[in-house]
Amino acid sequence: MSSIPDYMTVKHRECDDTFAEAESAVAKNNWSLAKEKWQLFTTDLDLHFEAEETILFPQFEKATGIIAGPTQVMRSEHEQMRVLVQGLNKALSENKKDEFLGLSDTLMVLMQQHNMKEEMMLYPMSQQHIPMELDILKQLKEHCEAVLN
Amino acid sequence: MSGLSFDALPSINIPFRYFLISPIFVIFTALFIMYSGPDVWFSRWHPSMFAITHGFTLGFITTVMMGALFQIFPVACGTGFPKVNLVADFSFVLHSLGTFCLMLNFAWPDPIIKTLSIIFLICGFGIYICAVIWTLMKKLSQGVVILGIRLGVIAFVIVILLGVSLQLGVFYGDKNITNLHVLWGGFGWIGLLIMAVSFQIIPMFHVAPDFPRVISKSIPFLIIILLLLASFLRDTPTHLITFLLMINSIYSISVLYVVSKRKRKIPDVTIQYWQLASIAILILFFLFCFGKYFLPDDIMKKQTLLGGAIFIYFYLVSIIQGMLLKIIPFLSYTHLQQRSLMNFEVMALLPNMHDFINKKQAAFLFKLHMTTGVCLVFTILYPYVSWLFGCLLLMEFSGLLFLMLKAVSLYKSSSDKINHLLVNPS
Repeated sequence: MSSIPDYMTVKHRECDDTFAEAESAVAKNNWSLAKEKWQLFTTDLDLHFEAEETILFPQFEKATGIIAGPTQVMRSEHEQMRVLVQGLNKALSENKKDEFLGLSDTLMVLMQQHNMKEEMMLYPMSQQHIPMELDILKQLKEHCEAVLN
Repeated sequence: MSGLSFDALPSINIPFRYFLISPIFVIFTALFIMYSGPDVWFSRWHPSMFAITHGFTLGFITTVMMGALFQIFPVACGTGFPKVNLVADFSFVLHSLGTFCLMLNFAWPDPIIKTLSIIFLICGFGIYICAVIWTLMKKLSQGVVILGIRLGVIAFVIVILLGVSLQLGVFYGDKNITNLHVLWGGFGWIGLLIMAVSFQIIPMFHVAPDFPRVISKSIPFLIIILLLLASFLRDTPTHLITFLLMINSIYSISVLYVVSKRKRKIPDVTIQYWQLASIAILILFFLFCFGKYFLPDDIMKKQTLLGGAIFIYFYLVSIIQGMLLKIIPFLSYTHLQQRSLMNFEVMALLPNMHDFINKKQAAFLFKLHMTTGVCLVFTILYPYVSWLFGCLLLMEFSGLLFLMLKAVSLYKSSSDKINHLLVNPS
């Protein structure tokens, strides 16, 4: 994982995995496991969003001069996902299975489209344009793995 | 920075118009099956059988795939069709009229209808394919999705050329050309496109591992090579068809494997459609290779018709129907979501994915699809039950149309509410 696209794509997959585990547990009415996995997912998701919004996007904007462009769209999609996560938190706390699965399917769609845009365009462009000496990758790793350390 | 486009999605009415008309062709086909009685089912060369098969392959499957490509290009390639509205308007109208006239001419031959069908289809496909080729000529990623689409489109051009030649009587009475038209259409155009799309959407939507590289990279090429071989050898040899079925079986096993390794273990009818289609190909391969050793002669006499029915109905139609049940809520949500960026009042109005297509109704449709498929097999073996097959088919595709119309209606009402809120913010 020596590049921004490689590292951030792996983080996307890790989020997908814990998301799927939480969702599958809800489908099986295993609420305690679902809550445990959901907690892991939302923590990872928050750290990932923060890393992008506070480290990657500002450096991308500085390096490319594009401010009202893809990063703005990505930020607004983060907000949309945060709203959906709130709805999912509520459904989970009230053990509402159908509501949770309807919202989780929606979040999945939003997440996958968002990830594809980042992985296909934003991350490769970030790798290409942000100066190496800033060592953005190290900063991203430190932020995303803050909980582990 | 050019090419970084996040809003290349075409207007939602473009894919939806193709999706919505597709079951109507099958509804016509079902009514025709009920009207025409059992005689049709005694030979694949019966003219009415051409009307029925084209109702499925051209009317349903190709129509959906053509509509889906308008959407797949911007998502998978980051670039859309040129002059998208113009291309969609002309190609849709010409394709729909051409398909209708073609089916009509097969059922009740008429020189005027036949000429019209050829003109409409050539013009409709011509416009569509020029737009696709223009898009594919751009510098796109070299991923397996684009590779599969490129090969699928090459096969599409060959299918059209062969089909038009047959209609014009260029190869009059040459059944080998008809067989090639079928092979390039089933295994090439539709088969390759389905594979290309599956390499992307199964891992993505179901949090499943990627397909093994050897499968996603080599299978599309192998299929094209086998189809080219079949084209240059006179009298399509049985062993080439066996190889084609074998390659598709390997792909189907990989689908079953990837699906079994998915991490999203939630009830999802689309997964059942994929599993049904994959198992159908394995059964077809088994019957084609070993059927003669254990099946009675009466059944073996109908091997081609039976094989075609399993391939079209249980394989192709299953996958397309399953994909429609996934893609319609996906597109509806995505298009509404794009308009609510940063506006949380608007976002509160967005329905969730399950609101667009009810899960229980989709599960019922899958059961109906299985029942109709079993009845199709019985109809080929015992044609006097064709009326029952026609009835079930009518029910199934009316049900599909109903589900789609409900989703579109919810999209429309949500869209109107969003428009109202955007114009009159509270």
